[in-house]
Amino acid sequence: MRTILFSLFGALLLMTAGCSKNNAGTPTPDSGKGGSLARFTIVGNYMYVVNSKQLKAYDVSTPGAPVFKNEVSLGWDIETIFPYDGNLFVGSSTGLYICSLADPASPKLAGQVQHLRACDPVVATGNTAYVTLRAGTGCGGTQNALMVYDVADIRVPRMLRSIALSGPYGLGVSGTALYVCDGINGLLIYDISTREQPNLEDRIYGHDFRDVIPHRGVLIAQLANGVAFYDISRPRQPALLSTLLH
Amino acid sequence: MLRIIFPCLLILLVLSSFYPVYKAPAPEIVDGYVPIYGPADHPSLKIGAAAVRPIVNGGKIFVIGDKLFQVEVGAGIHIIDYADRQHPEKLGFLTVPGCTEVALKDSMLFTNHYGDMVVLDVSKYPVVEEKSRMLNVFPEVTPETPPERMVYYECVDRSKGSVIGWEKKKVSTLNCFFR
Repeated sequence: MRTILFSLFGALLLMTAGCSKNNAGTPTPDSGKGGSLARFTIVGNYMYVVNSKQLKAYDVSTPGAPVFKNEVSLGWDIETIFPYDGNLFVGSSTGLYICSLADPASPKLAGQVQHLRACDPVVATGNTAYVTLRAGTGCGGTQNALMVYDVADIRVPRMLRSIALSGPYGLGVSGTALYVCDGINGLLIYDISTREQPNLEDRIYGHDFRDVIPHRGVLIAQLANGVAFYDISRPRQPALLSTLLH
Repeated sequence: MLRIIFPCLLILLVLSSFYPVYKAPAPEIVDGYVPIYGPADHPSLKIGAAAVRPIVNGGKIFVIGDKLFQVEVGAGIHIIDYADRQHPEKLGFLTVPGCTEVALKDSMLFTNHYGDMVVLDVSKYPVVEEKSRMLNVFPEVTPETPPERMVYYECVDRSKGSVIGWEKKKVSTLNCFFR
């Protein structure tokens, strides 16, 4: 019995090893995931792109031949796009826009909220959206902060809270953990068991953290000089798995 | 008439004495970009597979299956296999001049070649096929703008050749600014 189990285990190992050596981008059931700083995002058979002024929608049901569908003019200095729960959260240097994907080929501006001038990626979970504001030479403004918005009604997002930070970049959510990249000031881990009240629990130093993707139990961190992988089977206690630097 | 104009002028004169004299802000030295020049047919100006290279200016990431893609800002995309979470390794590099974005659907990779959006079939990497191109999706991005927005950069001097890349350096705020 034991030998059978072992050989089965061995065969499984060989199979997984074989899969891992496939070519880049081999089709998998996994539809992929980007970070919070992205200007590209794919939702189902549509791809959404933000340039500095517009949100554009493409039909990518045949991925090799995208078909332009529609565009929405949103204002100035648009920077990031984040899909959540049938909506697109669009970050610009002057505010947060929420576009409905009720018709995925034709996103419609549903709500917006203005904030002080800064660079600002967005993530959302439940009825709460988290936005980081980063001030600086390029971004303008003087405020570095984590902003918490109630988006239960996307037509009227409400600011709930603002927490001062050093110079934040991207952010991500997994379960009751909110990860905020504060550049060289570390990766901040907030407990968001109470969604509207992030509570700073831990901080990981040692890298210039720019963005994160929580994905299938692993937190992938974008660093200024590479990537780092953390096990987040316990989301609020990331455990370093490896780094790939330079 | 004069009786009205004269007091008005007087008030203006008094008010203007409180108004601070406008001074241009002093130039600062900040993080920015400097162009690297080369011939117009330089290999780093062509989309295609290339050897593994160091991550110098690591940009945005996209994960799909056990593969992770990281932008090398302005130059291309690192392809990383992290099936073994403890020992991720680079599989190769995709040269895409001006690239800042990356996303995949199946084995089609979406990125930007300067201002154009391109779809590259990477299923047979290192053979890379351009399947589609949408012109001017990012109309403000050109070979002569740096690979990051909201930064100062040394203005391009065409007499020095084609811009084949960008280097992160300290620059003066008297230079060009990319919004």
